Amino acid sequence: MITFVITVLAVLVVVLSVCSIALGIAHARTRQVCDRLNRELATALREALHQQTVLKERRELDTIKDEFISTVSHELRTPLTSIRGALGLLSSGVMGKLDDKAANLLRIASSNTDRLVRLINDILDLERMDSGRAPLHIRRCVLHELVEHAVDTMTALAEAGEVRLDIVPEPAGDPITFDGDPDRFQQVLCNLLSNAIKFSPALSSVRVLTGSDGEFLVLRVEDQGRGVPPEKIETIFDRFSQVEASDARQKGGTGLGLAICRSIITQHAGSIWAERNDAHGSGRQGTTFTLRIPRMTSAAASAPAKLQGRIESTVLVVDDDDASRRTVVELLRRHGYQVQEASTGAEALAIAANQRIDLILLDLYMPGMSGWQTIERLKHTEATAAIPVVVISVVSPTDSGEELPLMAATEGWVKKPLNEGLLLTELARVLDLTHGRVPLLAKSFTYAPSSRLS
Amino acid sequence: MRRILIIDDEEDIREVAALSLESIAGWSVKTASSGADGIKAALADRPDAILMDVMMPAMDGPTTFKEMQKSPELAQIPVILLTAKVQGVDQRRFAGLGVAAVLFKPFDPLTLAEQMSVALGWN
Repeated sequence: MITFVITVLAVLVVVLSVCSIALGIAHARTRQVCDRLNRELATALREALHQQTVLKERRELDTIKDEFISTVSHELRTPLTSIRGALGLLSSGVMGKLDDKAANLLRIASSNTDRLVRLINDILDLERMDSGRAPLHIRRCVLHELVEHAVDTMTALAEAGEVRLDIVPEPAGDPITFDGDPDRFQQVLCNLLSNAIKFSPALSSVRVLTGSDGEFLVLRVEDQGRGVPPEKIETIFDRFSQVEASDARQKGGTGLGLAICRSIITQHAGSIWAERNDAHGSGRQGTTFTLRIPRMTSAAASAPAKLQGRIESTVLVVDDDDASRRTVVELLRRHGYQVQEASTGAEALAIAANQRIDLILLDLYMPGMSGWQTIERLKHTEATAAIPVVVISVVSPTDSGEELPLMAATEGWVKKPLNEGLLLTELARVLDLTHGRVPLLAKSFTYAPSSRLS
Repeated sequence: MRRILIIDDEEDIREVAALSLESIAGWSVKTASSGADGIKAALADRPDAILMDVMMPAMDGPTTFKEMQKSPELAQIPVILLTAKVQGVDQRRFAGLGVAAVLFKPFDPLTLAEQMSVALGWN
């Protein structure tokens, strides 16, 4: 009996010892795991805080830059307003007739003031585009309509220089359409036409040719001018690049027109280049500028790839119409976005102020607080002012008299009926442009390790 | 004859804009050099429209406009803001104010009246 008890006790001691050792090992391992988790947590915390600091600094820097440009712009324009106004009134003759010499002096002063104004506008324009502060407002465009409009705009300049403007009709078939920003595209066409006209000899012609090349539209502006020298053909799209040093003065250009064209075409994911007409031994004088941009309906195919880096982005979809909202929400979820929904402006404001939202997709026509009022409130609330807003609406920003403020307060615009590809491309574009500038972490965000790790 | 009130702290700009509207369009123009004086002038004269600068010391254009909206006598008078600030970030501040239009400096003195007429539906 005693032997049995001793044996049992001995076994127990052994078992307890083994358990104790096992527990010790387990404890040590648990401690190791805890230590590792602690270290990882501390590293994650440091990284998050560092990222927050970097974003904050970048945002502050952007704000300083914005304010500086805004102030410079204001300070330059204010005296120019008085100068241009006074010169304009004097040279118009409404203040009384002037002799020829005085009129000529006023003409010189006026045209140089206008040149200075154009220069300031172009510099600011270029700066805004290059820094992503001039977003595109994409919609479906009919190419020949834009070409005709640009040609109409430049007709007076062409007539003054006795240059003929010809539009070579598109190849037979459906009119060429593309998804782009009509105003910016017109700006490119007008810049190219204005250049071509200014460098064309009297009685020559400038031709505009359009066509499509698979998924791309191709547009050419062909002149019979002196031609760009071969050594300058690569650099004429650079800022302040002129073929002759005296061109800016003589032709009234700013030296920024082609840089702006390139910037706009690049924003449209296209390319632009110049060629001498005699490059292929044709013996023809002049230069041809060619631009090639995707017609964008196909851009839908590449949109999901672009979105890979946006998977962490949260989009707030605001629409009072349940069916429309659901369609958009499902589309975005399919493409990897985190999505929040709101059916009223008030609900949207509350969500935007309290949650991490990277972009707001907003319907304009809603009962109660309209989309328009919602934008106003968002932009006037500190916590939500920096969140980019993309409008979805049956109207386009150029349809109404409210064009200016509406466009200025939004970062993007997608027209209804909705084209899925366009919507995805626009979202990716706005998020890409605002990435790093608009904080990815909402202002009210506070670091919460437990919720982030769970 | 249209009666216009110009509110701008820059004397030169007031003068050029007034001359432009008077000599090109034949309108009758009064001017004020601050938001506060502008409100007084508007109450006294009830102009057909107000052309107002955005950036003014003490009370800027948008603030003056909001003050005017509080007065039943002035709320009906259309206001056009005139600004030298063309940055999107600045324009955002004007969004939703309810002004009739925003025109940019430097304006063309020969077409200023025409631009105002278009914005105000006076054609």
